[in-house]
Amino acid sequence: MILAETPPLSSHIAGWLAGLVGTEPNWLFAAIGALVVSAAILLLVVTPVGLGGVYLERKLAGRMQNRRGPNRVGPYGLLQSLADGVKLLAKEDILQRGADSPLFRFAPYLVFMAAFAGFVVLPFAPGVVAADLDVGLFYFLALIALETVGIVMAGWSSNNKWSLLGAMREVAQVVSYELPLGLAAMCPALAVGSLSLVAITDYQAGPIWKWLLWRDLYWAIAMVPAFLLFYTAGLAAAKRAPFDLPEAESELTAGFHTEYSGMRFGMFFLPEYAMMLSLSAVTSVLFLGGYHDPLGLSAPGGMFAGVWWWGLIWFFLKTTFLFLSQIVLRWTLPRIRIDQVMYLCYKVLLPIGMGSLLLTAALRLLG
Amino acid sequence: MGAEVILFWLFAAMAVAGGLMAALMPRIVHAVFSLLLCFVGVTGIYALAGADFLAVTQLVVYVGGVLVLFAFGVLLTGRTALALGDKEVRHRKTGLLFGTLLAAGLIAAISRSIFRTAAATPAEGTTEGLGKLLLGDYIILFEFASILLLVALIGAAYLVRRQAPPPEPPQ
Amino acid sequence: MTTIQGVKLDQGERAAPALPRDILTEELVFNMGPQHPSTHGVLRVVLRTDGEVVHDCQPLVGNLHRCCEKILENLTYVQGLPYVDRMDYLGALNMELGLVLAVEKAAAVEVPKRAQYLRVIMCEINRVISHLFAAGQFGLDMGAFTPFLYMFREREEALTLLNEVTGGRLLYHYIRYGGVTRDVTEGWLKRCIAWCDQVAAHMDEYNNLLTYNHIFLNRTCGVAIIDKDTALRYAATGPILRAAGVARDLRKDMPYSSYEDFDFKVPVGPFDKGVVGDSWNRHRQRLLEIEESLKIIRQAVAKLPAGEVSNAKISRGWKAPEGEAYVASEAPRGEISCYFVSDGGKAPYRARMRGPSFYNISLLGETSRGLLIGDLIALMGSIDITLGECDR
Repeated sequence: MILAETPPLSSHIAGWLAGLVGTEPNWLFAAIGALVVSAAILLLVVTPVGLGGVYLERKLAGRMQNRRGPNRVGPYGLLQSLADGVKLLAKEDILQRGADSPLFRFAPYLVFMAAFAGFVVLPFAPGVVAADLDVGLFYFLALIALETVGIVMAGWSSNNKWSLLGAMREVAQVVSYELPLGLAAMCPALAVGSLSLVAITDYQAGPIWKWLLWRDLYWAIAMVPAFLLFYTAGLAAAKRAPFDLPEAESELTAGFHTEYSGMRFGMFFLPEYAMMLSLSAVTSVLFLGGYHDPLGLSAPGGMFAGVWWWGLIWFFLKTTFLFLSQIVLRWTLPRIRIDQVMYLCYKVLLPIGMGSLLLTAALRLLG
Repeated sequence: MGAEVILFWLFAAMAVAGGLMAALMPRIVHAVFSLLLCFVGVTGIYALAGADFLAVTQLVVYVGGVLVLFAFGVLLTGRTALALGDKEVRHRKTGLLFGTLLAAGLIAAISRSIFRTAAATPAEGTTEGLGKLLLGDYIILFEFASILLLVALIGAAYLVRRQAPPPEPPQ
Repeated sequence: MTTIQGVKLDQGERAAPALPRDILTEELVFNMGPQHPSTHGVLRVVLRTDGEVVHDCQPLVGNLHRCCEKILENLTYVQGLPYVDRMDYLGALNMELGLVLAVEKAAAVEVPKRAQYLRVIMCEINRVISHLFAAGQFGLDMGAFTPFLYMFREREEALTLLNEVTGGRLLYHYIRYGGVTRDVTEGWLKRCIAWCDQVAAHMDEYNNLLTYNHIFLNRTCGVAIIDKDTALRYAATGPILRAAGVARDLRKDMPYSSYEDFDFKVPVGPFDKGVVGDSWNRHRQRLLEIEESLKIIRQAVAKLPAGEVSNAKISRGWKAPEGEAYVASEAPRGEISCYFVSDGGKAPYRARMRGPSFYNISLLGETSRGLLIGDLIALMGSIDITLGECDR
């Protein structure tokens, strides 16, 4: 029963709290322990990483464009994200006349929830995972679907035709790209035989040639197209350029979140970076070995086996590498038009996905 | 076992409240989006019962598919201002009759069924078991279901196709 | 007939291809602008779309109308000249040249050769930076953020050069009746050539990054075609006309200010990708015109004659003698012309400036039919309108 198996960290917290009060740890303490762990992940991991991601993007974009990026607030502009957060909090909360108030208010929270709930299944390091769900990968993909509801809500309730158009485009795009995303995600799941992200990571324990992307070299024929497919479909699901039509600044001003101001806009803005990061994280878990280092030292029996900070370092290195590549792509490529996006999805990526799934199944049968 | 009981009541309340709101909300757009609450509640109940794969599938299919479809249907056909008390809402009496019949039938069926309590829900996930059943014992039904969906897809695409434009009259 | 705030949109007069629909859908009426990132200024466009496909598009200009021409009739010649800068603020020197040439023709004022060559140099620099801006903005509309900033790097250096000579970065007030205000130094000429080399060296970068980018090609090739007949019917001029295949460049056809002394080609569509008259061709046209302008600048700098830079007879209270003139010249966006009438008074009797964007904008209505909204953005970006000269 997935709830009875609380991960070690939260049961430690539950035990500690119960010891503090002087009773046996029962369900209440288990619940509090779980909540504390989730809140800790949110506060200590997701928010700094989201804010840091914004800073990294602005700096990298600046350098690519022959300028410096933020460098006024704090040394090297490091406090810029904090200043932006304060600014957003201080802005007037404009509620448009004619906007559907309950839906307007709820939509950002739904998108926020969907983006951040994805972090609970990410294996940051050996033993450091909020919930090792047996269906972790599937759960992660389901949250992307949940996000689209929030976006339709936002686009509709803004009482603005441009927002509605942006929301419709976005939903069409994300729902379509869930197909190649799912197909590409199925390839590592098929290779490993499990949907659990921890199991997939541990399957890749070992040196760099044990990573699923090119495992023992012959897996590459199935996994390299799957990796590229997952990456591309992930870009579309995260609404990043070149698939950033829903927020096409020069076409629809800001797409579905045009009418949102202040912290409500922040509630859309932060999940976008969180989604980028979690997709990069899942890509690295599925194909690049997750928290295992390239030298194989964190494999069972190795020097750093089970060492949490070693795994954390490598996890973040891989995630950051993919995140940076997403940023570089955004500032290099123009935007693809919506019908071309759909063409790409159904006529190019979907066949590639099916092809790689077939190859994976064949390799699994043979090897 | 306290946590599970509380969570069960929470999710059940969400599901029932969502359903009631969907039926009774004055504005149709609110009704459609309150289905979200209902579906998430059902997801929670599945998860509590140990059906992890089914819970996530509920999210993907119902929330990501059916709810989005409903939303598109309401928003794109422009009947968003329709409210429950409008004059245009027809067949109220028929709807009430059928609803009551359905409710009576469901209550009768539920009160007659025996709910077995499982000894202890197994700790392993259901994915492997489901996969073995679907592609083993029930493979034919699985394939038939896919063909049914394919037929529905083709039918829908056929229904909404554009006619070719009429030939230009000679100038 | 629907009416939005007094604007009538006719629904059937111009033959829009209407497909019989099985499902009745509503038509959306959008308002794009006046505040919108893609409309290149305060342009209001009223769109009628069916979802994503545009049925009709009506540009509503006039938000930037500042009564320039009327003001010119009330101020003296010297006072009124800065107003012409502000019409096409991205190609200000060309705009100045337009008015000044007409006045000089009517007044039969001789302009020294050195001043003519300096005018050519400055106007061509202005053309290059205007085209860089337009091309960069087009990329920005298509979602490519970075080439815009790279082109601005070139623009910055040019603005520094122009600032040194004319005293202004965007609005110059440099070309006056009878010549120009200030002479250039040898050092400036060397720096100008160095800048030309820099721009030429970076053209490959722009082409690789933007022009021949696969996604950009998909967005712009075959999109929003303005063919020769349509362009001529709407009196479109400039890169639009040349990309549509009409070899008309006033610097060659009706040379002014010593343009006949220079050897340069006029790029005419079609180019190596896309269809003649589509958005890609217009974009490519501008980039090729940049290269030609650099050639002109180099030749002008090399052959710069010595002499005066201004006709000494022009003073502050100068009045043009009675007469009229019409002079057309080639601005970055098309043909600008000035019909100038003087009655011997202290101010012009009439100085009518033709801004090319006013005519280019009128293409929007017909060309936008059947386009997707993304293509409409491509159309507006590739037409390259500046509201200043459209509204005056």
